[in-house]
Amino acid sequence: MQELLSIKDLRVEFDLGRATLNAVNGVNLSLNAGESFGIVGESGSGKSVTAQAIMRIVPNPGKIVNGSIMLNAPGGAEQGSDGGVDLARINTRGGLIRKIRGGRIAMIFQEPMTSLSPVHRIGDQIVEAVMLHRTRDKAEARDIALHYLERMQITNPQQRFREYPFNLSGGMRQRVMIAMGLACDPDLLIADEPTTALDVTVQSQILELLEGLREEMGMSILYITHDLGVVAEVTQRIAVMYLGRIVETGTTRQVLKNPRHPYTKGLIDSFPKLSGARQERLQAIPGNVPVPIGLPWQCGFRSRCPVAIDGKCDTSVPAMTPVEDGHMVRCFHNGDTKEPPLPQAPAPRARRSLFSGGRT
Amino acid sequence: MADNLTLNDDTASNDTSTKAADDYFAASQWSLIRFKFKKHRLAMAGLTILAVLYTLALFPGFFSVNTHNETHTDYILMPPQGIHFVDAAGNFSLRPFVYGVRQEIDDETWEKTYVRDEAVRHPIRFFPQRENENLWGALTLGRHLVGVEAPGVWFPFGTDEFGRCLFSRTIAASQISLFIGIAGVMLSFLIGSFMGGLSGYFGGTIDIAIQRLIEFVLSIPSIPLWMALAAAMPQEWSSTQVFFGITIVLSVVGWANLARVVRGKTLEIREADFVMAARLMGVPTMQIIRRHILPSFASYLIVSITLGVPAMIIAETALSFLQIGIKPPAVSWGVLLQAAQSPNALSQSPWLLIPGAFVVLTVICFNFVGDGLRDAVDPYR
Amino acid sequence: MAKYILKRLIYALILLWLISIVSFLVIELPPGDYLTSVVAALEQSGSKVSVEQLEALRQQYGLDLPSYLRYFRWISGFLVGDFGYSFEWNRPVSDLVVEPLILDAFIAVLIVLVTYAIAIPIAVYSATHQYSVGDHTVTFLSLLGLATPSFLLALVTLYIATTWFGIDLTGLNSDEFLLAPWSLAKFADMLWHLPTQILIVSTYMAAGVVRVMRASLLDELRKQYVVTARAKGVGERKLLFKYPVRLALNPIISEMAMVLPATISAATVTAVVLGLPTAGPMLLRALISQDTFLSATILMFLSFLVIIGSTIADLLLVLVDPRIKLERSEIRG
Repeated sequence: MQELLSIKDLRVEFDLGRATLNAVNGVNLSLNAGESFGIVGESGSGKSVTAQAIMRIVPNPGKIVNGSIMLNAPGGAEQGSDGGVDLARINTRGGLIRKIRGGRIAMIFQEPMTSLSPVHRIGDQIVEAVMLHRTRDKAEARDIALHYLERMQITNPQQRFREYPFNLSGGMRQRVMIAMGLACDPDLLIADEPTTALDVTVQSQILELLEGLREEMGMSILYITHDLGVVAEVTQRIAVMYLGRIVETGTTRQVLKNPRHPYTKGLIDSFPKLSGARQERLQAIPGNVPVPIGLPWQCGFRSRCPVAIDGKCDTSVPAMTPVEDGHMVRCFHNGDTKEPPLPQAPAPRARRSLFSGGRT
Repeated sequence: MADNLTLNDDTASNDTSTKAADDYFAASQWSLIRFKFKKHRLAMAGLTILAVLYTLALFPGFFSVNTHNETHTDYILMPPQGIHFVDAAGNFSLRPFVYGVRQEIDDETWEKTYVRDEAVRHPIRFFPQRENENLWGALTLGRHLVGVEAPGVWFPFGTDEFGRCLFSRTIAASQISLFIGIAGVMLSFLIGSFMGGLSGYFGGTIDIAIQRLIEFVLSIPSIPLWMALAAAMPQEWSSTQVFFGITIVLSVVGWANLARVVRGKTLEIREADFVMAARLMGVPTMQIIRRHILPSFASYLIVSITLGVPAMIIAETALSFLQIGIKPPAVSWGVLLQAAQSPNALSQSPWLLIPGAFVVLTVICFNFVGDGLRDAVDPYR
Repeated sequence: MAKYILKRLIYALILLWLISIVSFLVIELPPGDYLTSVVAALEQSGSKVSVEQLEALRQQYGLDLPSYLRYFRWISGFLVGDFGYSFEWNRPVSDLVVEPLILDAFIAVLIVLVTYAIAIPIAVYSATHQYSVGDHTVTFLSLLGLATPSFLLALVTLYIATTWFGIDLTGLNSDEFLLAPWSLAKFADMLWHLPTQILIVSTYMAAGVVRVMRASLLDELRKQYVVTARAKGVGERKLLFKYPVRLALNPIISEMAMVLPATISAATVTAVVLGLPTAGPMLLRALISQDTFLSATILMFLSFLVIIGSTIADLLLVLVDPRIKLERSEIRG
């Protein structure tokens, strides 16, 4: 299998003036061509920032301070490994990133209500993308746009093409967003909470459509979600993120059937299941995700962990440790490997620690 | 998120700030507003300057250095006199003084110039022996706060074409200019909140009619309309009558903006659950407006009122400047600016524009205070 | 769409009618009637007015009629271009007002255009460089501009022009053209003098527009659709102007109903300071001398300018923002 995207040691910081927020804290990730991958985590886990970093649209004052994001050439190894681009080092106002955005990596967002410009026709917004990447010919671009609207099962695409976003329902708008993302035939589609704002019935329709198109077009999809239901339904592999770090990764089946990290376990226990033998009370994880400012050099989950080991979890960060083939977990209960501190970390800039477990 | 950060920060650091944070959450609406307002530095500065200006305006006789209508024929269109601490010989004196002034006439051009007479020094004293007038609100001391002793003169802002002290006139004029803003806004507020409240509360035909009326009033260019209305005031009216006349004229337009704010807020609150609850309990309409709706947006009204004052002050200045507002011998900043109207006078005596600086300063301060209040009453900031 | 335009036009007609009533009130409002002023003027010029003459005049102006009939007389005269008689100028009002009002309309249009030409680039710069030195300067200057009465700005400009550059900016024409009939040369000369007022009023108006535009642009820049467009691969400059700037213009255009009256107001006062032969100074003079037919006509036409302008702005907005069609037809339906 060819590797399409490879993220190494990615760290993203937000300089808030008197403190630095470490949103992404050393993420390693590898995504294969044609694969469906999910990043799961609560809000504040750094999953969305990771996605934004790939597109280089991290909002101000966020900055990539370390690591690389290699996007390999479409042919992969056959064209030679030097055909790749390191997105972490690319000029964000240059022409190359504009070719990649929309052209090779497309992204769809959570809020279909606000993601489309309210004053431009739907068709024109798709055509704009197509004309940036696929063709200069307006008529051809229009045909392509109509084709993808049809593919997204939008009824009466000829008429929808001329309408404005406010004429459409949320589900329809998200279909338009996806059509816009797919219209340039990207290698990778990043779907940031694609179905969170939609009704449950619409959710599964859209996921089915996406998966069908993925197989047909041979692209990869990176799902960013907090919803275990989504990943269980569509992804092949997942990574669970907590406080800017990946804490567990593996095939979807490995992670969901045999979770090894206490956080993953907690996440699964707090998720309602329809197919349980008996009705159990949902187990909530106590506390909240801490704000990632001036974090001490310790396991991020320690403050909420039911099985934290004193003298170990609070003084060092566990490294990713393989537990099965392709299944890795970042927890001292699976071995003793510690992560060596990076020279820059922990950031000494925050004078007072904002890290306090019981935030209410 | 930023707020959470700060609070977390405080709770983590020590106990006293935990208490402060508790106070913050338990505080009433008004003390919360006061707390947030005090953190707005520009607004606090604006409020301080306004307090000073209004204090001066309340006691113009006391704070001026001359009598504002007294003409000094020897000192016509004289430039402002500087205050000195060090004399020509380089001697320092703790008590500031002004030099005497001599008029000289150029032999060829016959132009008059004022020359500083360094031989004569008039020290500036507290409560000097000097004639005073009894303007409304003046302290009964019958003295100026500071000034120079009787034969000497001190014109901090220079003099006008009749040799009157511009500083004293500016202070005297601030009385009308500053209070007409308040009076105009108050009257506008009465009309505006009545109309806006009716419109927002009842809705339907009344709402449509009042909204159209508001749009109509706002679509007439205000200065020409004010001019027409102000000019319709009888010539023989006394200064007081003119003051109230102008106030009414300003409110004819001014109410519309306030009514819009009131209407918007009323509509918002009318739909609120606590009003529905009151209505279900059978509370009479007027009582719902008075007891439930008005208090909930009193803060927003105060903001609108504060931001409404500048327009009133500017309008009065413009009307008086055009000679159809406040008329001499009554003085307002606009009246004083009339002297600067001809380009000739202006280029010779630019200090005649000083009252204009007061207008700008006042308006800026009101805007700062209004902005600060707006941020302070917004519970989500 | 056609229905909306029709509705908007009918609404504008109703406003025009209401304005005619207000203007008529301006005629009626001063103490004493119009005749008192006429008689005073006649007597001042030395001629005696007899009782019969007085009665004839009274008949002529319909002063013995009830006021609603007088309004009717006045307004029906209006429809055929008879605006009444100016006793001060001793000429029909229609002879007097046409030239200054055309000039006023011309100036107002230029002011609005120049205002936006100044304000939009500044606001875009300010919003895209938020909290930079330039942005703080812009914010400070616009606050100062908002606090300065337009006539004061004109006075300060005059002062600077005369003392620093030795230029006299007052008047519409240089002295040699003052009494000359209209010619190309006089028109060219006017073009030199007009910009003073246009620039002064535009700068004054721009202060407010910059504030509104900057705030709404900052709002728009944070919206998700901007990120969407960026993620499509749209270049930064094109993105800025095609999306957020375009949307931030909407509140500006819909504020036209506020901008136009303010423009006319500011133009009126500054024209007095600058001594221009526009409607403003003529109105002031007519008001002071109680030349009521003249003042009412000018007030009415100045308001007309505003209403015509904001009607055009409203119709323009429908073309620019597709959302309006829906909302407005609901509200005004």
